[in-house]
Amino acid sequence: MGKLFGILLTAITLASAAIFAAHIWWMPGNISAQGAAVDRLMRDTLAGTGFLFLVAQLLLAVFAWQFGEHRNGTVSNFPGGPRPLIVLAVLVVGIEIAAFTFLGSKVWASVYMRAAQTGELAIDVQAEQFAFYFRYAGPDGKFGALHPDLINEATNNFFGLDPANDSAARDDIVSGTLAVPVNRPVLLTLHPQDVGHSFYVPELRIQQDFVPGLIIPVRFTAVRTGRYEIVCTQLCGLGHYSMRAYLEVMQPDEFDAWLKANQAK
Amino acid sequence: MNGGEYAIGVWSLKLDQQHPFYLRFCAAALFSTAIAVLFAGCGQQGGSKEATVETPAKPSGPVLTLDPSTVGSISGTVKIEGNLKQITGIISPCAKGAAAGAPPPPPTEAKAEPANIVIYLKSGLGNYHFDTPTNPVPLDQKNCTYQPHALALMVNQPLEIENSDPVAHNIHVLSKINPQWNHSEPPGVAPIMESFSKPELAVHVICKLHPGMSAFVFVFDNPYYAVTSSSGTFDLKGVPPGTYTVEAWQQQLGTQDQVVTIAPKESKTLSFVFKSGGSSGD
Amino acid sequence: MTENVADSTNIPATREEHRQSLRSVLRHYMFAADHKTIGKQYFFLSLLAVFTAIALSWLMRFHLAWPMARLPWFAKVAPNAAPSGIMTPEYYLSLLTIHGTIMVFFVLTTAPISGFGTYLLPLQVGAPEMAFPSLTRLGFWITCASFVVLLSTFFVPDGPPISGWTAYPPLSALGSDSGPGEALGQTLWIVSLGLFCVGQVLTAINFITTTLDLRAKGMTLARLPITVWTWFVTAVMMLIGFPVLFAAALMLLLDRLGGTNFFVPTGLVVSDTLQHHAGGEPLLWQHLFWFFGHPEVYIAILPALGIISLILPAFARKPLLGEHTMTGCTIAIGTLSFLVWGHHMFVSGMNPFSAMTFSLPTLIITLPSAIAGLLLIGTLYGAKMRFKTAGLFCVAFISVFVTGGLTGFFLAQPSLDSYLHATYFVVGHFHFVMGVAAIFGIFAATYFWFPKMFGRMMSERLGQLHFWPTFIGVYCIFMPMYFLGFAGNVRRYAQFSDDYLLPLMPVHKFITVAALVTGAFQLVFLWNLIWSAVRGERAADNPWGATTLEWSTSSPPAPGNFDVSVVVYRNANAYGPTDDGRDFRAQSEPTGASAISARSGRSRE
Repeated sequence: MGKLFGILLTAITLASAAIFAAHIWWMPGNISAQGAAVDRLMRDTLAGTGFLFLVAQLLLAVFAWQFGEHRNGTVSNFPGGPRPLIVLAVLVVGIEIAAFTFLGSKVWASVYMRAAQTGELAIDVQAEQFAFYFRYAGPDGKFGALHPDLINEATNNFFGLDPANDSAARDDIVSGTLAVPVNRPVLLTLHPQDVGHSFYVPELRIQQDFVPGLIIPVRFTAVRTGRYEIVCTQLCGLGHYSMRAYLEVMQPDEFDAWLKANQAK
Repeated sequence: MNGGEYAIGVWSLKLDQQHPFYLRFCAAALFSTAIAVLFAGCGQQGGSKEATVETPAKPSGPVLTLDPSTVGSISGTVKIEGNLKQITGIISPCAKGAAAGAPPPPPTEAKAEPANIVIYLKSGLGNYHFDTPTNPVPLDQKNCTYQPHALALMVNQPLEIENSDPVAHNIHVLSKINPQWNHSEPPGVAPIMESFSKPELAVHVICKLHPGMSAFVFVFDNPYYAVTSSSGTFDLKGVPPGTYTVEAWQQQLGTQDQVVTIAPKESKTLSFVFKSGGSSGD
Repeated sequence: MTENVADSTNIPATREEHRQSLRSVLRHYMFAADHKTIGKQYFFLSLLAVFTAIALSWLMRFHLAWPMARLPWFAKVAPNAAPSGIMTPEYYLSLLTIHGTIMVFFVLTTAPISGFGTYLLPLQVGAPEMAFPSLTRLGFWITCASFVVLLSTFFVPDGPPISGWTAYPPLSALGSDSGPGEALGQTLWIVSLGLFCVGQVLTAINFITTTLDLRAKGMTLARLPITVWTWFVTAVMMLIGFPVLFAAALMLLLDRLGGTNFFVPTGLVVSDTLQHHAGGEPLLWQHLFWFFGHPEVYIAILPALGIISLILPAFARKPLLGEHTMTGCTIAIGTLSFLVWGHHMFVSGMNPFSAMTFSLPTLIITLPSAIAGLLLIGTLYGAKMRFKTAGLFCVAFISVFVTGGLTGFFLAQPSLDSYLHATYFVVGHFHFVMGVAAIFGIFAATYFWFPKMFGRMMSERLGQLHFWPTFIGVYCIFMPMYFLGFAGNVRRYAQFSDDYLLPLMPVHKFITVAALVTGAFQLVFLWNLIWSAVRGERAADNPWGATTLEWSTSSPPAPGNFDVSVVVYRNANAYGPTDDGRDFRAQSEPTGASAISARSGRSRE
């Protein structure tokens, strides 16, 4: 039985490791200026944990094979007792902990603790059951104030703007697609209308919850054009699975044309 | 703890033997609190719901009988001047090539067709009794849109909701006077039958799974209503003589009222013009 | 009939006395049962719970693989949930919520500690009974009531809640405006949780007092079996953690019914309705919940770790490597588990700087976990391992504990968690450590202690038939979830309709088939339990040759547990060849008879 366990475990271990190593199912290509650092860290973590995975599982498999009831010899203790294992664990795991902490905190800060960038494009993002809406400030560069009591889905007033009394709101552009120009820093301000949601673009390596009552900034710079999906990752109700929007990264002139086409008269 | 380790242990066992009442009392208190909370839970708090369009007040006084020999009609047309803007960029799983990740269509000015405008009597109708029609009014979900976009029916008349799409939809009825309800409808299942017990105007019905998919339901206690097609014409037949405020409702442009007096057997024509000031509420 | 259980003369000693009348039998099981009976009652409650939750997961997995398939019988049983046999998205979320709640609370918190702990703790410390027998009973019936209230959510008009076992407000705080099942269903869920918290606190008090005060003569703290240590650490964690959950649940209930505003801020518009709440903070719930929630998952795994650490040496016929180190690891894990809750909240909107302060202890906690795993592997070295079913589940535990634990390295780093959060990577991670490793601990415990509890041996053939497909099956179910997570597959989706998820459907179908097949093989385990309880070979006092005190009394133990006051002479680790040709010495065996041979290495007495 021990031998069978050893064989099975070895097969499972090698098959899994092979699939991980071959990246058969893997992260989609990175499109964010900060994403390369995340990818490196992911790769390093996979290598570190993969090594530990292989060593531990194969050692277990070998021991299960080797030390069955009917083998020759008597029972014997691990050479040196627990101490070598403890020392090994402290060294190996300790180094990994230190490395991931120092490297990881830099990567984290580069994405989530970014300072305001010059020339960044500010886009207001509202999540609600079950859609994302994106608001651009329009030619005046100012966002209109939000009034929850004026929200009216029937008239497409998702944000609760008051253009009749608020001049800054008159030229705000609202769209169901997040269009951004390539290579330009973007600042999203996330706020939800009803319950908790989340903004996730796998290609950007960014995920950020919308928290009712808070306005949360997210900064990124997209470096590749294309269309990517924004999906909701915070359970928000029955339509959680179908809540999505497109991120369209365009050339600057295409973006300007898009803005014009969407602009209110 | 080796020698007298039983001391505290025995004390705790003795406590258990001598004072079982306390423990039973605590148990009973806990359970009754739980039950009390349970029953309290049957009452739920909600937010405030204010109707966006005022519902016509129920006429008072003795019930009148309709005399078919004296009825007239109100007919006419509705026009919209200007364009209506739509929100764009919303993904629709029913759009062509949606499965292949095709983009949402580019923004266009929606042709301002005078369709889906609802005409009804806001006030002036006497306290007549009308039989509830038994024929169901259909509401279909096709190409991830509600068809029709606006419909009207009478109190307690059945609404038959069908899903002709290959994807599931979720019908969420955001009524303010009638109870709100929400049903998911997978594709190809038996139609959902619902009805409304009170008159209400402009009940917003949305599909929670597909933003931008919405319909409006008007519930009346009388049969004098019409929903325009793209021609913009309406015809309210069999109206008893009287003075009425006729209201026309358009989703984005609000309501317009006109007062009209119908003598016995008279037919009058009205004309409504909605002016769009470009985008509203964006 | 009095409640004097500690005084064993009042316990019905013979079957005839049991059968006197139905009423007296009922009164016995309700009010006078001893810890062994209650331990078995907890075990059966968990058994019922786990098969219920597995059935729910079958429905979930089937729907994910074939969302548009019609199940006519389903339409008959639950017409609201599945019109014409196709499941609605809200019902999927209800199943998800109840599956998680049942598994975390009624299986993983109940079986390893309330079930096996209640049965074995007094035996293993050499006591006749728990310190507070009434609390044992009270705890069990409160837990039962909690389970009934939870299941009742299936029978209320709007169905069970859809907010997950984590129940984040405002989704869970606003009633029916935020979705189906959020009205009475959510309220009942909160009540169920509140009851469960009370039951667990009572259990914790009982365990701590019994461990400290009721140890037999000679049972110093250093000689306590590793299981008693893990139950003790777990009980302390329960005592600290569950009251926090209770407070949070009460606050949520008050937000829903009492007009308070703990968690709901101003100005929310839900279902076209402006909410009246003002001034609350959704993140407060998350902090409170996860302050409990993270220790809770260690509450789920630590008893299993202790159980495996006890059973593995019995089958390896050699002592656990580094027993005191293992004890130290469990204490370290228990302590550190209270410092890491924010790693569930890296992208929650809390200050990003906090992410770094939570990441460090989360990474550090991998160290005692790694040492524990290595000690178990090292125990296997030089063994003469009897690969009976319980022993097989021990080595399988080590494997899945490693697999699940290592993926914690990814999730502990906020910059990687920002990609992997709320994907199937997390689902794979926690299922491996909780849904597989902890369950394997429960399986090992069952196969090991069934003879003691029921006086009969379980069928070894059925045990093997259960083990091998289960071991292969769990890897087939949960390893692909890591692959899905790397591909960005979001969790808690009722259906996969996004562009980038469609190519992953074959993986989901594979997982579903594996889940259905593996789940089916658990019926072999159930059949084994039933058949063995009735027809199994009668068990001797100590069929495994194990050292702990429960094996020095009859199978099952008589009321009062031990015929005479038991005296302890050594720790529970005395495996290895003895001078008189045996290969172990029981804890209660007097010294001087035959020393453990020096060749077997360290087994300090």
